[in-house]
Amino acid sequence: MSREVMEYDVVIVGGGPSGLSTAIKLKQLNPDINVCLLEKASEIGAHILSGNVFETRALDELFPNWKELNAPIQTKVSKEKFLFLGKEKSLSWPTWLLPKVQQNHKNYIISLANLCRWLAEQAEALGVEIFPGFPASEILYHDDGSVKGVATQDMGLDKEGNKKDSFEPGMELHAKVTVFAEGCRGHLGKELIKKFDLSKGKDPQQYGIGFKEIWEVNEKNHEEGLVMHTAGWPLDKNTYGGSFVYHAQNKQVYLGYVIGLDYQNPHLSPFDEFQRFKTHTAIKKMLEGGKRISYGARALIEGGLQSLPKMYMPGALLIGCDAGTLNMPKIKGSHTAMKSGMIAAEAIIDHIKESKKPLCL
Amino acid sequence: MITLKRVKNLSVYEEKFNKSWVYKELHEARNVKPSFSWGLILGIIFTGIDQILFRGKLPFTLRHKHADHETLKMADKMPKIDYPKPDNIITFDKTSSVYLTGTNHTDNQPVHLKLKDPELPIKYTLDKYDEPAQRYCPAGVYEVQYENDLAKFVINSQNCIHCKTCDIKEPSQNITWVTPEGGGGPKYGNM
Ligand SMILES: Cc1cc2nc3c(=O)[nH]c(=O)nc-3n(C[C@H](O)[C@H](O)[C@H](O)COP(=O)(O)OP(=O)(O)OC[C@H]3O[C@@H](n4cnc5c(N)ncnc54)[C@H](O)[C@@H]3O)c2cc1C
Ligand code: SF4
Repeated sequence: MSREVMEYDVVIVGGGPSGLSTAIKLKQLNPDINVCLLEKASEIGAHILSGNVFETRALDELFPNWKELNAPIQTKVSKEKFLFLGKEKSLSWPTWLLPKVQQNHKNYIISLANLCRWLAEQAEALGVEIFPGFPASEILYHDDGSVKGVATQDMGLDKEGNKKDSFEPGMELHAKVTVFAEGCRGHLGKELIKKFDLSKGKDPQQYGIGFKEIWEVNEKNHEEGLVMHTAGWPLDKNTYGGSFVYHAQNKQVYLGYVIGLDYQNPHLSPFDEFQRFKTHTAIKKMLEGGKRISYGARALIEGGLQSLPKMYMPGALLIGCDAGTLNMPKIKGSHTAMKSGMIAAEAIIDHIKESKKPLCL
Repeated sequence: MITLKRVKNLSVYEEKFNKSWVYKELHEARNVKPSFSWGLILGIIFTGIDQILFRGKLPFTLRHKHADHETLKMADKMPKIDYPKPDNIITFDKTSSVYLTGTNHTDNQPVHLKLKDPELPIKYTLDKYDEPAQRYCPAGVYEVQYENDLAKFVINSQNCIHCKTCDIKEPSQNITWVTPEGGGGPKYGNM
C-alpha cells in the first residue's frame, strides 16, 4: 500500500510554543503561504508540561493585542522568594541580591499548555492546518540529500510489526521547508543533528529532568502571584538542581523540581528526590490540607549557546528546544522558543523573496 | 500555493538569530550552568560575580565537558540512598503518580522504546550501574524482575509520558525513543 502524499510550502513538526509561533508568523507575513503543523498528542497542549513563569517579550511582538484577544495570561508575579534549604532549616536570600535573570516581577504565572491551545486557535483562524494525533515518525530526503518532508506514523501494527485489520499507512508530507519543533530531545531532530553533523565544534548538549505537580491548596496557604525557588536539600552539593513553587489562580500551586541529568550516583532517583523535597517543613506546611491534582515530567535542554547546534540544513530548520534555545539561569525557554520560531518564519519569507530573483545556492 | 523554489541554503535564519535579542540573552547566560559543575557553593559564588557584577559580560566562556550519559559512576563505588516511603498525603509512589498523567498507548503495537542491544541491560548495565533506568524514568516504565533467580528487563511502554530522559541518560545510549501510534502518551490538562 503506497502512502498518500500531501504538498505544502512549509511543514512544521510539533505544536509547542516554537512551532505554533512559526506557523502564526508565516501566515501574518504572507496569508497565501500553505502551512501544515503536526502534533503527536491527541490535542494541542496535551503533551506540554512547563513551570511556567512566562516572559511576554516574544508574545508582545507576535500579538501586541494579546490581552484583547483573551490570551490565558492573568496572574502577574507579585512577590518573589529564594530559599536555601538545609535538612531542617531554610535561609531566605534577599531578592534584591538575586541576579537580574532571576527576577520575575514583569512576568506572569501561566499554564503553557493552555497558552499553546490559545496559540493553536489563533493559528487556525489564520488558516494553518493543524493535525493533532499525527506524530512525524520519519524524515524524507531528496536524492541530493536535502530534506523533503516527513512521514507520519503508520497506524494498526501489532507488537511484531505485522499489519492488523485496522492498519492505515502513514502520510507523506512534502514541503519546501520543513521546520522541526519537537522540543527537548526531539527524536527526528536528533537524527538530523547526526546526519548533517550539526553539533560539530560544539560542546556536548546538557539536559535536566523536570517534574511538576499541581496542588490545590488551603486558602490560607495560597498567595496568588508568589514565585518561589529553592536550592540545596535534598540534593547533595554535587548535584545540580532545585525547585520551583508558583502560586497560580484558583488556589492552585504549580510545584516542581529540576535535576541536572549529569548526576553521578546511579542510585539517585530523581522522582524520589522530588517527593522527599516536599517533606521539608517549609514546603510541607504549604501543602497540608491540600490535594494533588496533576503529575508529570519532561526533560529540559540546558546546554545553552556552547551546545547550540547549527540550526539550518538543506530544506529544514531546527527551532526552540529541539535546537536548545532555553535560558538556563532563568529556567525559561518559552519566550526564546517562540522568538526562534518567529525568526524562522521571517527567514523563510525572506528566502521566498530572494528565490524570486535568480536563485543562488 | 505560492511560488517558492525548494529552499536549499537557509543560513539567513541563523544570521537573523545571531542578531536577535535571544542570542544576546543566551550569550549573557552562557557561563552559569557550566560553573555549577564545580559544586553548589562555587557555582553560586561564580554566578554572583558573573551575573550581578559583570551582567554576563565576562570575557571568556566556560565549557561543558561531558555528555549526560557519560557521568554515572559505578554503582558499587557510590552510596545507596535510602528514600522514605510515600505517605500518600504529601508524597506518592510512581504508580499513583503516572495514573494522574492519563497516559495511554493502545496495546499490541510495536514497543516505542527501542533497545540497540536487548541483552545489555541485564548483561552489563545491571551489574555496573544497578540498571539506573529503574530510577531515572519518572513513569516506572523500566523494571528488573526476577523469575527463578533469573533477572529480566521489562519495558512497560504503555506508561511512557514522553519525557525523553531514558534516551538521554542511558549510559551506553542503548535506548532510543521513537514515536508510538498517534494520540498515545500523556493527557495533560493545564500543565
Ligand atoms: C519542569 C519545567 C519547567 C519549566 N519552566 C519554565 C518556565 O517557568 N518558564 C519558561 O519560559 N519555560 C519553562 N520551561 C521550558 C519550556 O517549557 C520550554 O522551553 C518550551 O516548552 C519549549 O518550547 P518548544 O516549542 O521548543 O517545545 P515543546 O514545548 O516541548 O513542544 C514540542 C511539541 O512537539 C510535539 N512533538 C514532539 N515530537 C513530535 C513529533 N515527532 N511529531 C509530532 N509532534 C511532536 C510535542 O508533543 C510537543 O507538543 C520549563 C520546562 C520544564 C520541563
Ligand atoms: S521517555 Fe521518559 S517516561 Fe518514557 S520511558 Fe523514557 S524515561 Fe520513561
